[in-house]
Amino acid sequence: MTDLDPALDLRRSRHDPVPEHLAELERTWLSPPGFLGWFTHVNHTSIGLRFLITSLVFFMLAGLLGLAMRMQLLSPLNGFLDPDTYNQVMTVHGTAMMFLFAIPAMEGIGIYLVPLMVGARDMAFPRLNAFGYYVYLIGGTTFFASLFLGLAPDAGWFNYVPLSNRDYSEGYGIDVWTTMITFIEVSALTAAVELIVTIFKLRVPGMSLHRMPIFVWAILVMAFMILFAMPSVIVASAFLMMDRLVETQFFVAEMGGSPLLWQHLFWFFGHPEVYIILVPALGIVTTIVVTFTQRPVFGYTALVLAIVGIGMVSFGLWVHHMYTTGLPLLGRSFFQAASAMIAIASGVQIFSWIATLWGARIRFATPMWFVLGFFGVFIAGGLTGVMVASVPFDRQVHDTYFVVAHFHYVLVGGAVFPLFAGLYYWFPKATGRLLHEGLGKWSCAIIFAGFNVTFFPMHQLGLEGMPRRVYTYLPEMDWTFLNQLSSIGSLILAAGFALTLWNVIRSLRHGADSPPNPWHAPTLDWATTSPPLNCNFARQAVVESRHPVWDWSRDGKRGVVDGLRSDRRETVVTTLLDARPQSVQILPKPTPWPFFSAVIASICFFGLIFSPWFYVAGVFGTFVTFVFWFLPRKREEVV
Amino acid sequence: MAEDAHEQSHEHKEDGIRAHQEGAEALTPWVGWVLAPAAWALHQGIGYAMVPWLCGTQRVWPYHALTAFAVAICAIGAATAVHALHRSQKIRPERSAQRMRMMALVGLMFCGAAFGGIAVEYVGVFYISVCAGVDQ
Repeated sequence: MTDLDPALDLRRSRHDPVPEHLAELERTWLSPPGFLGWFTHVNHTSIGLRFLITSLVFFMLAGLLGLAMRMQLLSPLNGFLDPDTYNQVMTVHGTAMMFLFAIPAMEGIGIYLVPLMVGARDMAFPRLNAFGYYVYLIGGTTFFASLFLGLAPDAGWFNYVPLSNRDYSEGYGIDVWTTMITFIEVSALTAAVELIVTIFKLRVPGMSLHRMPIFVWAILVMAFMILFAMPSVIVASAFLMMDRLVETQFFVAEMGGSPLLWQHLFWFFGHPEVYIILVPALGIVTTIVVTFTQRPVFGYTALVLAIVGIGMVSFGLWVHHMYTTGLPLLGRSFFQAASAMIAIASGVQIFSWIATLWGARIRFATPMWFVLGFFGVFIAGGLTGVMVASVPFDRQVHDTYFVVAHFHYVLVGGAVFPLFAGLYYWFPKATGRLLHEGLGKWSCAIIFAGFNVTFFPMHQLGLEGMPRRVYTYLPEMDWTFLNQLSSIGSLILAAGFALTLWNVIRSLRHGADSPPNPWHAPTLDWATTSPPLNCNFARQAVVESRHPVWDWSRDGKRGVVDGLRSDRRETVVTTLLDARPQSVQILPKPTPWPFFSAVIASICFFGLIFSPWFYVAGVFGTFVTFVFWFLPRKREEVV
Repeated sequence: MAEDAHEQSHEHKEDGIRAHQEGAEALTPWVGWVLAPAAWALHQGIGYAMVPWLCGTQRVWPYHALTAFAVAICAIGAATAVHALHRSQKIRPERSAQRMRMMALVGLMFCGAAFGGIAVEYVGVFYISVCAGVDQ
């Protein structure tokens, strides 16, 4: 970071002409081409897209595992999957959906969009960004590959002890879970840190906190939640790893340990995890509602309060996963109250969106259809959430399919529908092409129908007492019809997702060219070319309201920052509250060292499954790569 | 020379005081943001942990004291947010004032929400025995 350049100038330009030095600027920010060059990329657009694409691949793989479970449950005493395989499939499905799809997808969309939305040229720590991606890619692939190598975990995505202790789970499956989850969460933490710093320090001049887009607020809250939640599961996994590898006794009741400690630590992460996924989705929904109604969001301050409030309260709900573990009744009542309370914050948001939509001339393009689907599914999931927050009701339906139905309504409604809305909304930004509207609307309708046919019957199955996490059921239980309905629904759901996949593949080649701002959106991500320039913006903007692009199209002029050098990677640093220009940050050039660091760290973590000595080797190995990564260089060589 | 040096030192001191005051003022709207979740989390976390101990001692007043303490923290946060709201009227430029108003207002509402959270969790102690469900 350097002091503010005296030549740095905030100007109002009538036409914002393309600067003469744009060609040099683009060369400076160019990511090296070719196969080997791929391992050196640090630009946020490149890393963000990789996060998104990789997470969607894991989503498809985990979805196929879900289909396999539904095929097994199609009829009573079915032999499609044996019990052991079913347990492995169930565990990898849940773990992959939560750790390999949902969080990385939201982080990916944040990494891709936040610098564009705050008008920056890149993230605050581009190399850390790349490191996080490789950690996620290697960790996720290793975890998924365990299924095909006979090393898959089989104790559920929650990995409860004592089932996951050495006494009850021999073999390497649980070790794969503990080490890889710990490892992958390092990636989540790196993304959280850089998102926070980028949002706080790299906003363009004029974008004070009360002018930040709601999406950026949502990503900020998500990043803080990751910082507070992830250490809990990392600590829990590390304890379990030590219990299994070096015979500590953290969770062994006979030796004075506490199995319930695992549940406390896991759910202290696990419940906020749901909101880590949900909160950015709320930002996506707000962005789309504003754009497709062409009016400012109703109750901006209340929405910010609701998002921050959800982030806060989500850390006080974890015990509602443990109502049946014999905890004191008064203690449970605290968490019942808190669990019901979070519905208030969610309600504030719903009413803000309704008020924004009310009386507006809504443009019903595909992203808006997915948002409407989100309203229906998420509100239904929220209502059953209030039901299971209640201790007496929860004790009746605990560990039944009612809970499976509830959390799929919340997670698919709360995350997947908005994510697909975002996919249709920002696809033109990332590719310069529009997705096919007709295919998009059909896909949305089929996903909505397939989802409800799959998961709504599970409410009834749960109320009839069908337990979850069990590979089959008896014919005399009369659960066959509802299970068949659910399994048929899962095929319809898969067809809906496949239609969007086809739409993406088709549109990449044959999609209509997109204008720079096809939706007439108000945020800065649409104030550059589609796809964005290597440097994001020819000139960084100066903003004067929450809707700068609408201002510029109305006034015919825009404020720009001038005086940044084009021969090295520079971006403006501003003050945290009012976004006044403060200094210039010089960002690092592409390098392969984050990749090498991630590879060494991966070997260390994976080796830990077999011997604790890999820890020592890993420390020295990664240290060497960090030395080259951070090797000081002359300022002139920074580009 | 000595006088110049003295004057310079005096100016530096004044600059330092001004910077300190501006820093403190900048922190004011954040107080509600920090104290509200702190009060609520403190009340819930400590309250949850102390239930078996309350049962063992057969005393409930420590829980009442904890609640009063948490409410007091909320009240301090709310009062500071109200103060920041009033201060925002004197701040120029208007953009900074708007930003401060927004932050203070969210802080104030946050304190209100935290108070609501503490209240609904507190009600249970009047209806549920502290020993219900406790292994004795």
